[in-house]
This record gives sequence, structure tokens and C-alpha cells, in this order.
Amino acid sequence: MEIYNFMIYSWAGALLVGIACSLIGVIVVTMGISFLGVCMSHAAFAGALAGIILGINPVICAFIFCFIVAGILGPISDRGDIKPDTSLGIIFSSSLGLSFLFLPLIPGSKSEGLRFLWGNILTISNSDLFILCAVTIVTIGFVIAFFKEIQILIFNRILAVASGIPARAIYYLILFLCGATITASIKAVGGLLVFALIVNPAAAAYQLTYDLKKMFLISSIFGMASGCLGLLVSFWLNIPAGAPIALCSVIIFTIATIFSPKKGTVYEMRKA
Amino acid sequence: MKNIIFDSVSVARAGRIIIKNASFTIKTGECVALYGPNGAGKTTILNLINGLLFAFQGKIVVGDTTLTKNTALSVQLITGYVPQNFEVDSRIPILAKTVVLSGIYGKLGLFHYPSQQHFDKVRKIMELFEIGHIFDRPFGQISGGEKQKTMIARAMMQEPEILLLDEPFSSISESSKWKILEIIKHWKKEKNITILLVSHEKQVIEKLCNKIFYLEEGTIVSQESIDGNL
Repeated sequence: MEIYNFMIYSWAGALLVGIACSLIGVIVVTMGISFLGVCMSHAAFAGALAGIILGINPVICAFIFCFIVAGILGPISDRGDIKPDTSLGIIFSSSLGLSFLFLPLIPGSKSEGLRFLWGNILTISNSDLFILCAVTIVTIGFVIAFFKEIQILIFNRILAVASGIPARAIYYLILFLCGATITASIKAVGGLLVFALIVNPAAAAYQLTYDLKKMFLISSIFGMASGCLGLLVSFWLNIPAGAPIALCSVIIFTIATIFSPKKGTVYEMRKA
Repeated sequence: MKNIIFDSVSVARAGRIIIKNASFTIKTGECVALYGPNGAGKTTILNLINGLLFAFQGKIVVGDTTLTKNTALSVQLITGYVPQNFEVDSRIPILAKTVVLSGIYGKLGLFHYPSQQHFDKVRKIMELFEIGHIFDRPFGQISGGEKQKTMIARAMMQEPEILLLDEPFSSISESSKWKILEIIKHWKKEKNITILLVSHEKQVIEKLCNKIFYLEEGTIVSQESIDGNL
């Protein structure tokens, strides 16, 4: 019965991580802030380590760190004094620095801390699954509720403001939601590899369609496929699931790029 | 009445004053051209009316509203904006019809979705601008002229009381340009909208506007009236 439960949790986890990460991925990829995923995932990792050191729930601490990063990035991006990639780079290096600082400070074995770096979908618990499920539902709800605002934000943020869209509030919501998604996924796929599930399915979908609705749908399918295929490979080879999940998403991206109707290799060959 | 009043307005960016003590009034239904060399502050004036920038000195009044960060939204909802040199990633997943439709997103408000009637109106406006054939085409894949027409159609979709046009015809062919000018002129007369046009083309200005503000280094150095266009 226990084996049965662990299998169900793993598959459900793979599907939920795939959906949540790939949906938020569509927004960050199309807005040209893909690096936000790396930044947030490392902040979540640093937060989780701080939680272990302080004896607080690491997931809650990871949430707090991600929200701090979102709270810093939003105003920096609004002021426009520093380019987004520069501010992301500074916050990324700070998070990485904190992670390396915190890791040796963990008393005793470092395996608890490293679990958040590599992740293990096979060990996710009932409560992890509940958080993942809640974050996935919120993400889907956000995309449906704010679809038209997301469309115009992706198109042009200044034009969105000029049209009377609460662009700043929605941008901040995107940052916080990205943080929440990454934190919820970190135990399953790890702080290093969650970035792959944010960027790759969305980047693959970006190659295949000009319709944003379809892009959300295709990205979710690719996200779920990456999660499930990765899990299959992990069972088959008896290795942790994070790496095969990330690599499956890379393979999907590569295939999508080759067959892309937007100047993919096959498209160009047919045209010639 | 949506008069636009600039009262001793000064704007600075990156430590440099880009608008110096500007004072003028634009009455409802007027069309004013902003004319001057690059960097004179023409686009800045449009951005001030649009609530994208704020003055450090003086005040701007649109209708009954004094523009501040808190009141900008009410002005943005009645202001159509066509930015200059509009470039996007050629693979962006946004269709031309969506761009035109997005003109009403602000007025629709949060949690309200466009209806079939809105899509019908989009098609009608796009056909009026002779871009009906790009209805379902990706915005990034259409030509520069089609992009500019789409952006003007988007502003029209918004049904604004104030229209801000920033070099809106720079990529549009000569024949299309005069047709669109006629559409805007007709529209202005019918709805009594106020227009601010940034353009380097004197012919375009003379066809559409009834007043020209000449700008140099952030200062309005002179004004000129054009008869017959009001």
C-alpha cells in the first residue's frame, strides 16, 4: 500500500510541477525575464538552507526568501535605473553567495540541505503535494483571470500602463507567483533544476505557435510530459528524477526548435 | 470638456531638464502638432499627458483632473496612444486582432472579457484601415506600415477623448497615409476628440492640425495657427 502511495504521489507531483512551472514559464519567457526563474530558485534554495539552520520549516523560509526577492525586483524594475538583467544578476549572485554561506553552517549532515538543491520527487509527502496542488490551482486561476492583462503586458508594458491596465500590480503578482511556484516545486525537482521546467516547456511552445492561449496549453502539455517522461526514466535507471525531468524538457525543446514553423530547421529546408 | 492645461511644467530625467517651464492650453477638439528637432521634448509632452511621466514642477490638468500618480488612471482610460517606432520580437505570440482588441482592455476593467461584438468591431476597424487581411496574422510578422496601422486602429478601438500620435505615419506608404489622415480627421470631427501629433512631416501637420507648437531644447519657442482645420 505504501509503495502504491509513493507511486501516486510521484506521478501527481510530476504532473503538478509540470503544469505550474510551465504556465508561469510562458509569462516569464514571453516577457523576456527568463532569468527570473534562476534568480528565484536560488533564493528559494538559500531560504530553505536558512530555515534548516534556524530550525524553521525550510519551505516556509524558501517562500519568504522568494517573496523578498520579488519585493526587491519589482521596485528596481519600476525605477528603470538598472537594467532587468543586471538586477537579476545581482540578486542571483547574492542568493548564490548566501547559499554557499549557509550550507557549511548546517549542523551535522548536509544531506537535508542538499535535498533542496537536487530535489527528489520520489520522496514528496502528502503536505508537499497539497502545497503543489494549491499553487497549481492559483497559477491556473491567475492565468485565466488575468489573461487579457497578461497579453498586453507581454506585448508592451508601457503600452499596458498607458491603456489604464494596473500593469505594476499584475507584474508584482507575476513575481510573487513565480516565487510561490518555485518554492512549491523545489522539493520535487530541486533548486537547480526547477529552472529547466520554468523555461524549457515555455520556450518549446514559443517555437510552435503565435497564439498565446495555445502557447499556455502546449507549454502545460510539454511540462507534464517532461515530468512524466523524466519520472519513467528515473524508475527505469533507478536514479533521482530531477535530472531526467530537466533533460526530457531539453529534448522536447530541441525537437520543437527543429520542427518550428517559425524558421525551424525543417521549415527552412521545406521552404528551400 | 477635456481641455489640457500645462501650467509652468518642468521635467527632468537623469539629472537633465528636458521640459522647461512649459505653459499652454489645448482646447477640446483641437489638434496640436508638436514640431521640433530630436530631443526637443515632443514625446515627453505626450508621456506627461499619458501619465507615463510626472513633472517635478508645475501642474497638468486634463478636464477636471490634475494629473498625479493617483489620478493618472482616469486620464489613461480616455487617452489613446500610438507610440513611435513600435518594435517587438518577430515571434511574439500575439495576433494583430489581439493588438487592436487590447485598446479596450483598460475600459473593460479586471475580470471582464471581450465579447463577440468587440471582435466584430475589431474586424470593422481593421477593414476601415485596409488591414482586414492581417486579422489573424501574428503581429511580429506584419510589415512596419501594417504595424503602424494596427496601432492606430488600436487607439481607435479605445474610443478615446484624447489621442496622442507619436510619428504615426513614418512607415506607412504615401497613398495609405492620406487615407488614414482622412479617417482620423473625420473621426475627430464626429467625436470632437483632442489630438496631439508629433510629426516631422509638415504636409501631414497642415492636413490635420489647427495649431503647431515649435519646440527646442524642452521649451516651446513659438506657436502658429493653421486656418481651416478646426
